[in-house]
Amino acid sequence: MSLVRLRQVVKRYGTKLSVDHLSLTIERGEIFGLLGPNGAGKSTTIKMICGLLRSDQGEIEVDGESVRRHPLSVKSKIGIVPQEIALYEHLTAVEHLRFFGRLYGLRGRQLQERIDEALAFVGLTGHRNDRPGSFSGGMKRRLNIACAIVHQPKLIIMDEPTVGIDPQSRNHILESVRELNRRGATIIYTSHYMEEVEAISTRVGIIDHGRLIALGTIRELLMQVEEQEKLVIETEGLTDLAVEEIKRHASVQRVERRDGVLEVYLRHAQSYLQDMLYILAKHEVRIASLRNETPNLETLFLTLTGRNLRD
Amino acid sequence: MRTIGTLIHHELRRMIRAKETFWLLIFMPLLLIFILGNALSGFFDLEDREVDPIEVGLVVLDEASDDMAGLLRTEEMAKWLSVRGFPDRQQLLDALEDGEIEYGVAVPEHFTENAASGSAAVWELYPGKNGDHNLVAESVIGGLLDRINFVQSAAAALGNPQAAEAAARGASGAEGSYVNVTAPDMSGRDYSALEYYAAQMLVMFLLYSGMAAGLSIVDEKESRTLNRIYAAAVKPIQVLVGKIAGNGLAAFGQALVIILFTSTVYGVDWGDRYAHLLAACLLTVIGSVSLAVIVAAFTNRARTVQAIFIALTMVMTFLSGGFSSEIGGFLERLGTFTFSYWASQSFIHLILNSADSIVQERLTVLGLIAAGLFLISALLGRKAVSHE
Amino acid sequence: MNSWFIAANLIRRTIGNVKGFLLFILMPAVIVSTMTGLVSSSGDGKSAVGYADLDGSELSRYVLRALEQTGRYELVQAETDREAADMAADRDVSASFVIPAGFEAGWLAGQKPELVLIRLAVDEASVMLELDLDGIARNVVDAAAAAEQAGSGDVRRDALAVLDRHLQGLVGSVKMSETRDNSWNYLGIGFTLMFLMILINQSVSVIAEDRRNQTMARVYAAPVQSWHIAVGNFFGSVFIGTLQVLGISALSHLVFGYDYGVPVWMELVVMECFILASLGIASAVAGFIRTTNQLNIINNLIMTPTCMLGGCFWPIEFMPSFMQKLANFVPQKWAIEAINLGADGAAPAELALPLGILLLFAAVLLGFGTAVLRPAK
Repeated sequence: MSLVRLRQVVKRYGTKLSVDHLSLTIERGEIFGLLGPNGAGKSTTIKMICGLLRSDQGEIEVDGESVRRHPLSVKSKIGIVPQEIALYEHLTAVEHLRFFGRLYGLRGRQLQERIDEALAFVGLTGHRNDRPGSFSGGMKRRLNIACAIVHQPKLIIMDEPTVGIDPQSRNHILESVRELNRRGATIIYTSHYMEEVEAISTRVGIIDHGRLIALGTIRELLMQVEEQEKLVIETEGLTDLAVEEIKRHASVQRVERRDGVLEVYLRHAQSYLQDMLYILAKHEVRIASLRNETPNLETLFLTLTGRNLRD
Repeated sequence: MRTIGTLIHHELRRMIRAKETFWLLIFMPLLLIFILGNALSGFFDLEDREVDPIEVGLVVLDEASDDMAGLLRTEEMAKWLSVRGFPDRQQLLDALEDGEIEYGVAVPEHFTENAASGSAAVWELYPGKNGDHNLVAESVIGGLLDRINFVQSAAAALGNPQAAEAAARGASGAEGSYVNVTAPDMSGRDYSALEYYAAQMLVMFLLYSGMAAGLSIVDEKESRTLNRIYAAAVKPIQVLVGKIAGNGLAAFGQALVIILFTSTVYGVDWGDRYAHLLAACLLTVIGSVSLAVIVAAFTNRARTVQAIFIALTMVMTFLSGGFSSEIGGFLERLGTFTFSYWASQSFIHLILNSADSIVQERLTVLGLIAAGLFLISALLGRKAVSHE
Repeated sequence: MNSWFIAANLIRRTIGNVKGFLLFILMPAVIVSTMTGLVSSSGDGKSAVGYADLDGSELSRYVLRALEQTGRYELVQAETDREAADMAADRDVSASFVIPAGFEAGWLAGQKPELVLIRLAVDEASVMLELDLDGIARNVVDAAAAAEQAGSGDVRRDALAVLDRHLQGLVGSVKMSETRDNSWNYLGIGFTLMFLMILINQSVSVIAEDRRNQTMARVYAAPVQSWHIAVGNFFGSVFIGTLQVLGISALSHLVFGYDYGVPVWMELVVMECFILASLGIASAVAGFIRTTNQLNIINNLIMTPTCMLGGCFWPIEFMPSFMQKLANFVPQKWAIEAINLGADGAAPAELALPLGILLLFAAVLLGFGTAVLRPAK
């Protein structure tokens, strides 16, 4: 049985549909990446799964229990790492974990053990008695994570956990996610950074305007666009005629032009590369650089929505 | 239940860890009680006040009255009045207008003649611009005239002027006050300003404790930790109870500290009706914290909570007579609509050892207001701790 | 100029929405103007005073008549001393007094007469009553002494005659003019100053928060010179404060017809100087404090005692002299003094001293504070 099941979930803010009849399942043991641009409804969806927001319509079940009917039971199985760093200035790291651990129902010996484990996991054992005021941004994020896993939840939700931190900390976090998964937790990971989602997810859902527009393993999704490759050519002296001719080529699906940079979307780039070069040479267009980009989720998103992920 | 326990512990720890809590809630009230108790106790006792002698201008238009007018220049009068002579009314008035003198007196023509013949004889008084100085001058001059009047009356009634004057000089001066002042408990003990302000400041700072509760709620909203708590299987009502109970306990502790300190160090006697004292503390704390929840329901910003609460507290304390016990009848009546009035009155009557019925009457009104506030806060409570 | 945008932004954030406007402009205006407007128009000057005459003698009747004749009291009778005490406790009357049984008899026997005054709080009315009663008692003693000295056969009759004659009050005084009662000025001004301080603290709190969140740094990163930012914040704060003063002033004058006896321009000048001084204090404090939460609390910690010391809630003359000297270090005192000088009819030049001191406060403290009004380096 799936760990999380959403059925036709709707959430409105005023007249705006933030989540639009979303249906989704998340299987046990997977790392599910939820990808989408800002404002797509990722955070809203997450909050509804956690019971922090009520859905207007639809059903959400976690581990077989309805979120609406058994919110407390559901919450105790989930650990959420929120997007904002929500920490108390006046509590030490240990005190944070003790406080939240207690709220999750842990006591005594068990509480102490879980605290030590959580600290060790995020690498903050040496700072257990320090306050967040003295932490770097990366360390704060790590404490943020520790607070969410102290009760060893079945489902861990991470909402944009790597926003605004240095590459080293980010790698550490991604590694932690994999490790947690190896230890048995199911993970929902939301982001608008495609590279991260691609790197660690087993399955990915792409969300836009509150709707799920693509769902599947990375392999499955990329198959939808594997035919699509992109040539990025930096040119000098590009003419309109040259661009027109390229567009007319049978393999070319789309051409985007930004000043002298030509982005050509075509099938089987390798086969038709020479044709492209030939056309350009014919029009006496000089080539400064040439790049062949393999399709990725960004490409998929662009294909599905006509927009960039980062917009 | 345990969850609430954890939350209360969390609240208390937060308050203890915040250094400013100590300063604001403990140090300040004790400091202010001291300031107020000493600052305002001496005012109305004219004898104790240190004032510069008031510049008084004097015009004597009746030669026969020179001696009498000279009474204004005696050593005893010099403590209050510094007298300057003027040749005529106009110059006196000009000097008053210019601010060269602060008060004017004119002894008109035929004054002595009129007094001696038994008809009305008056001195003309010209008040200056400073109400307070006018009061003092009038009081002093009035006293002098009263003496003169007395001697004249005695002389006329007895037909023996010397006897009158001799008696006037000797009899009443040395005896001390003829008035015994006591508080309404008729214990013979007078009631000091320090005690009055101890009660007032206790209430004002319990209001501040309430503000701390409101700030605590709003702070968690602002720093997003509230969501974290909800994610951990906690119900809003638990959060609310935790905040209220935690801060309420702290406020109660604060009340105890203030009461103990003022009674041991400042000598304030809060009486021995401990049950009533407890009730007064409890009801005040409940009302104050309820108020905090109500305010927190309307705003998400700490700044706004502070501004509202400070303004509310200051105005209510002022109207309850917390800054100056004499604020005029209308304002006093307005004050009876405030929560802090009934709270401070309860404490004051406990200090005064007033009858049980009086104390209970005040506690009842206080209780009703606190209950009302609590009810409203219960209705709005959910909104106050809501996370969106 | 960029400073305008920064100032405008600050203004919009503090009072640019309905809540802000209501809270910081309208509410204080309503409170201050109502309080002062209604206070100044109340009362005929007589205090209600309770009494119990347990002697019922002619002497006690003299006491009552003498008291009534002062014109200061409205006497309310109680049957017993307990009842009189309760009246005082309930604040139905300002204070009560009791003429004990045997008052006249004791007097004739040469005992020291004693009246009992019951009061709840030490205030003007009860102290006046104390003085009046004491004076009356003195006369009573002197009358008996005079009668005896004159070798009277019936001391009682003669003494009472003296007292009776005295009551006719033939020698007395008359007030030749009614003065404007400025005694409540401090109240309106005092509360205005308090609300101003609260508002300025808010404004500086917003600025400090910006500094902490580094939104200010973001602005700074834009092509804006740092002193533009300081100037913008400065003017924004002053503007907000001025708006509040105008609001309070307008409401007081227009709705309640109350003014401080000072021309409006003078009132504004004094308030502007105070705003600057207050801005100085708040920003100097903000320069030393890290968290905005602490900042708010510390500023409030400063506001309350300085307002008290400075004479916002009661006239400065009420305080012992050492405290009055301490008050010189507090800007509120100087603002109130400036207004009172003006109300007393002083020439504008005389206001130079108090205003100068306010500006000195402002200059020195703002010097510290400019560290705050600009982004952290």
